[in-house]
Amino acid sequence: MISFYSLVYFLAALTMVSSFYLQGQSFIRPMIRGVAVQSILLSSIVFILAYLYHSSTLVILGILLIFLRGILVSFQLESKIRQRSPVLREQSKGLASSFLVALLFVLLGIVVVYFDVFSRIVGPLEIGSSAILLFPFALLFMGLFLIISRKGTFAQVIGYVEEENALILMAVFLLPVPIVIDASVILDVFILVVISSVIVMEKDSHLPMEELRG
Amino acid sequence: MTVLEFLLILIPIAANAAYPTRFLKHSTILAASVEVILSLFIMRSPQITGLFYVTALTSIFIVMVSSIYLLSSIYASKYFTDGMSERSIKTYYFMSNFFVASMLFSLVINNYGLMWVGIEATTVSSVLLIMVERSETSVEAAWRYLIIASAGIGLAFISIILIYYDFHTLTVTQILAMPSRITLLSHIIAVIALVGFGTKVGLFPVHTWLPDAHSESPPPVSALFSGVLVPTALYVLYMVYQIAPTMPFYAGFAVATIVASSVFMSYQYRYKRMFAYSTMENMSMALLGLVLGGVGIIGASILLVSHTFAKSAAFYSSGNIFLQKKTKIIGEVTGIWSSMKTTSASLLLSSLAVTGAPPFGIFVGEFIILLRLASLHLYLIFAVVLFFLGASFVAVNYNITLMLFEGKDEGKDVGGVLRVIPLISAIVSLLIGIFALVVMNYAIL
Repeated sequence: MISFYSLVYFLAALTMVSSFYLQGQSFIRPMIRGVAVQSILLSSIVFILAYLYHSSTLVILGILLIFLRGILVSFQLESKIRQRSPVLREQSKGLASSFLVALLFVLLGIVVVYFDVFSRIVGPLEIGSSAILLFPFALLFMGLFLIISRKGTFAQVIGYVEEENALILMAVFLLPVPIVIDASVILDVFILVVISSVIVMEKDSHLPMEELRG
Repeated sequence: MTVLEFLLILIPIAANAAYPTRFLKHSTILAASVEVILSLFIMRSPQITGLFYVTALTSIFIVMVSSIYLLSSIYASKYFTDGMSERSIKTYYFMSNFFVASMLFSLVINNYGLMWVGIEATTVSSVLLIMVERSETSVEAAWRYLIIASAGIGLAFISIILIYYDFHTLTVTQILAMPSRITLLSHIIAVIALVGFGTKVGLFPVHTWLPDAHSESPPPVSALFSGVLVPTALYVLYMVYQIAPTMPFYAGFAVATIVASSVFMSYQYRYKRMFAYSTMENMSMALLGLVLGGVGIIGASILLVSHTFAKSAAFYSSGNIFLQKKTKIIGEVTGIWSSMKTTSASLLLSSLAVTGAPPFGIFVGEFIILLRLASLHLYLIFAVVLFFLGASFVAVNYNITLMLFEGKDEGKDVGGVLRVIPLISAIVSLLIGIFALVVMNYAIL
């Protein structure tokens, strides 16, 4: 029989799979839905941990994640796609090579940050071995790489949401921070996405500009 | 009293109640005036309570924020007139009120996690301020700021998670009261915070949003960014630094930023961008003073207060020049001393101030920090810093001198308030320097 702890590992692995899906995707609508699925996977992990730790604050966190990040963020971004149909597909060239670079970036990041540093400062966690932190780190680096590698506003916003998902995952695995802080983080991200959608309406891609050089 | 700190955060937000009316501008100026008075009261009796952590150093930052809030609100009331929609002007006041409230929240709150939330909220509330004029470059600058600062601050959240993991609390007073324990974990906390919050402070090489945002924002926003936002982020970084003082690492980043910003300044051909890089240099010097400790903290405090007024004056003056000349390129602005006397005077005073000319406050601050370096026998850093401060001084003042005195200009200066605000701001910076010198002289005697 599968234990709840194994289920947490399985879901965490799925969040990583979702991050690879986002990296390899060029159509914006599937990317938005992909990050919504990732947020729902994250909230599922939070609900299981809430059950295991008997924590009501984690239940609140899970609800906030589903409602704000899983539903409202994706709804907000999709509504902007409907208004700007030409930006449905962001990038069609070089995805395979950037995917490989992303893999290398993540592997290198994990080796340096987790195996060289975090494995030495973090002891066994309530959920089990500290190796579970590999998942949030992979998610973090994939999110950062998505921001760096893409030129489109939508893709960069999704990379940012992915980075924030990684931080929440890291916090719940390591030691859940007080709910008031987690809730503020989730709200901040939501407002940032709303503001980003204002920018999406003005400018949907970001290339070097002469006035901003040097 | 705790109520003062509550009021400090709530008053700017309350000013937004006038949003549906045509009195938002007036309510903002009124709120900013009350904030200045409140901040002076708080400065007289800093308090550390359960909810708020206001030391003498914090109260200096509070005065800085409220002063520039007032100056920028008054300046904006005359700057945003021609060619801007009523909606954009309202957006400016509305968001600037939230922006100031979030900075003050970050400064006074007694919790590292909520400090982080406050700093993140400053990004949320200030993005629209950069693009309030809706030019293509300002939208691009706003986007770069949003994505780079948010990603950086996101990394800083890892340091907050680790603080909680290490101490099982995020309350500043409780953590700082614990016996000092320098472990690998505390070092990692300090280093991640340096990279994360350092993005917002504008430390090299994670500074890239700063010159774009400062140069493309309207002048009252540039003044708020350079004068108080960046110092607020520096304050939060310093608070985390106190958990595990890893001086060599922080000092290394500060010196690298001084060197890099000096090099960047040397080839700038846009005056607002040049002042933006100058902000990086000033903040790095302040960071160096804070991490050196001892009198270095006094030097950093004098530098920061003086910088707030001097750099705001520089950006207000730049705004006046842009209003009249419609260009940000140094080479296209010549001989304005003959046509824009007051603005030229404030620009000259502010450029001398930000580059550390005596007797301005930044000179006094930098002098004390250099003395601290020498007293710690850090002679190599002393020499490097002194050399690049000198190079920046030459670069900035050479360009400003060309703008002011080379050739003759036939234009005219801007209206009364727009002329007076930068001049007042520059003179305050001068007075801070003279006051600090008098106090130093008295202390030595």
